[in-house]
Amino acid sequence: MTAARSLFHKIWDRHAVAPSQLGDDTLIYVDRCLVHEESNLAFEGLRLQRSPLRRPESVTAFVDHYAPTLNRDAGIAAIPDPEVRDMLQQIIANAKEQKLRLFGIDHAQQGIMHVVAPEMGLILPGIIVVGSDSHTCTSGAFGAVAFGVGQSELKQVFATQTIWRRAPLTMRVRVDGALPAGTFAKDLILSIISTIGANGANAYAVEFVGTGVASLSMAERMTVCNMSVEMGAHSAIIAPDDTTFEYLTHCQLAPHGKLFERAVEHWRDLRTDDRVVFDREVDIAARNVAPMVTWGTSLDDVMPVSGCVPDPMHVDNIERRARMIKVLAYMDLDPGVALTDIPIDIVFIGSCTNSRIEALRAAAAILKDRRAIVPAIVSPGSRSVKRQAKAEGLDQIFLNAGFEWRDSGCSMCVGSNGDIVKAGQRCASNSPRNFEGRQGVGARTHVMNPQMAALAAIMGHIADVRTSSLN
Amino acid sequence: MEPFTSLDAVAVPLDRTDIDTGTIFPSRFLRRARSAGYQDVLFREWRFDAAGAERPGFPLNQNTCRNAQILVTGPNFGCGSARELAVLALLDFGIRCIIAPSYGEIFTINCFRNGLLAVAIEKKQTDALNAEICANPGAHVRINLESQIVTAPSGEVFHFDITPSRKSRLQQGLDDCILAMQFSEQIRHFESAYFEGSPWLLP
Ligand code: SF4
Repeated sequence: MTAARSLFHKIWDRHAVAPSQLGDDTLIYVDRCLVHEESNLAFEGLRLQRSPLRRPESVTAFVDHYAPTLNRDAGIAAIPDPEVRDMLQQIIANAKEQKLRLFGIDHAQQGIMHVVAPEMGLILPGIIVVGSDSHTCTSGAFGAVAFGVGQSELKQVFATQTIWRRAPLTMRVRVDGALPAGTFAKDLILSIISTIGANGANAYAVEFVGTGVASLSMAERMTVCNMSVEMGAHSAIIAPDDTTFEYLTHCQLAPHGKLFERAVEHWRDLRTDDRVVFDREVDIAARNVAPMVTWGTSLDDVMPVSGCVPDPMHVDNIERRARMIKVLAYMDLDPGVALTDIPIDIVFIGSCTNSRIEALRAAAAILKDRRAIVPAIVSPGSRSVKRQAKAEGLDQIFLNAGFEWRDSGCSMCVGSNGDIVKAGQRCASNSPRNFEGRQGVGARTHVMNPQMAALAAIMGHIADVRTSSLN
Repeated sequence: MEPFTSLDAVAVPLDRTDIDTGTIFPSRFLRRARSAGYQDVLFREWRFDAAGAERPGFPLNQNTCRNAQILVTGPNFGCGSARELAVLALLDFGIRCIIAPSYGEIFTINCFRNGLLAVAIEKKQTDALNAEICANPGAHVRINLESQIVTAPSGEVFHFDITPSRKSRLQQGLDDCILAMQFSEQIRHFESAYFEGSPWLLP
């Protein structure tokens, strides 16, 4: 009888090529590799070492971090900042030279890599995906092992299709029950992070299980897996099921026909065996999840929207108190202030966490027949999402509400393309990170779900979607 | 990659938690070419004001720490984005070893791949070390990779763990990619069996 194994280990072991000389790590075979504009050092390294890129068909290049979200039709030449232009030209030149599939800025399916790769069907159950980006873990929603790598590891994948790794520890997060009205997958993962801590899953491969996970759509699963890196996880995975297989039947680049049926047969075995012991187990009751908001500069600084800014003087641990004082100074917040009294200067709806059609629908449901009173922008995760939203009339709802209806890319999540939050401004954002300076030097970020971001635009302050009287 | 065996150098204290790679290397400098160097990008917003002048209070700006090769810092150092340039900026400044209770995972891997030793020891040990170097600016800390030991200025020693592969690759300055290329025969074998079992993965 073979030992009971977790889903993660089943996939991992199947990709083991050989142990290293000293035997403490393994050469792991990589199926798919995703790169963006900040992968240029890896291409340069490959050239320096005069190695060919081994399997060009396994590598896909995206432009997202530096993609302009305005005036897209004018092309790269029209981008005013020469450095941004240069970043885009470099990845395009590298992709062409190495004959990679490229979703360039004029491509009909361009968008954020973690949105486009899954929606095109590049991500399949049971595969190993690496990307030169920490949110590559998003793709674990399909029952793949997906994680971010640095540029030297990327160079190795280019040259050999492998990386050196030792298997991480495993953690199982069981979510049972259904999310209450007014809460979303974003709130679920923020609650999980607040339970485990922003460093709590450090180097663990996390598997999400339970009725509260099985009932999630693929978009919701992607939101949950996406933010797992914010608790330090190596990767996050959800066992593939009928929801996954059904989604894949609509994806252009996924296998079709007989081959697809054969694959599904194989994919049905991709689940954790009974009696597997994980290194750590966490249980979450979905019914206790509330809409969550961050007040600080780490994902540890998160609480239900009904809460108040915490008081450092109530914190016993001296270091934590000192850190909190610094954070509140950066965020310009006083202890005791109700989160719903915090004014907002600008709103951003987008990013690989929350820019799929489901997120836009949720935000639009709040914005219908209402007006934003602060500047607000929405950047759909991909051009396909943008077309779909238009077909549903969502673009008009956003425009009528005074939102800027931008093109797709990372945009204000990180500001690399110039879409930044100005110093001292306070942004209600759908993005995954609230680090100091993340959206621009001196910018203050409050991470929340898409409906709450939309609501903040209408109210001009953080508000609770469950109790707001919207009239 | 430059081999690493031992180090006897000034250690600079940076006692904060959760320092993310975007703070180590702000994204607005990501467009700069590698050849231009990243020394001045390291901890940019903390080290320099908007006009580019040094902030006098910041540890790395102290005269006693300008040639530091060791950084002593808090938990979860290097969390956040996968940007490897954070490691390159530390190396460009001259840092060859970091001592912290814990790190972001991708960051640690990036460190070892570039010959930067990331030592993880307990929080109370980094606290003791931090207190000591704060009280004695410019004090030297010693690292011996072979015996896996950090020696504080006071002579107190802390043992650290490191995997045998990482240790030997650091000591010899071996490139992981070149090592993997020696397995090309095995990779080819693996691939043919793998794709036969999963034909839907072929393009
Ligand atoms: S949207 Fe934000 S988090 Fe996602 S890949 Fe882009 S920059 Fe990273």
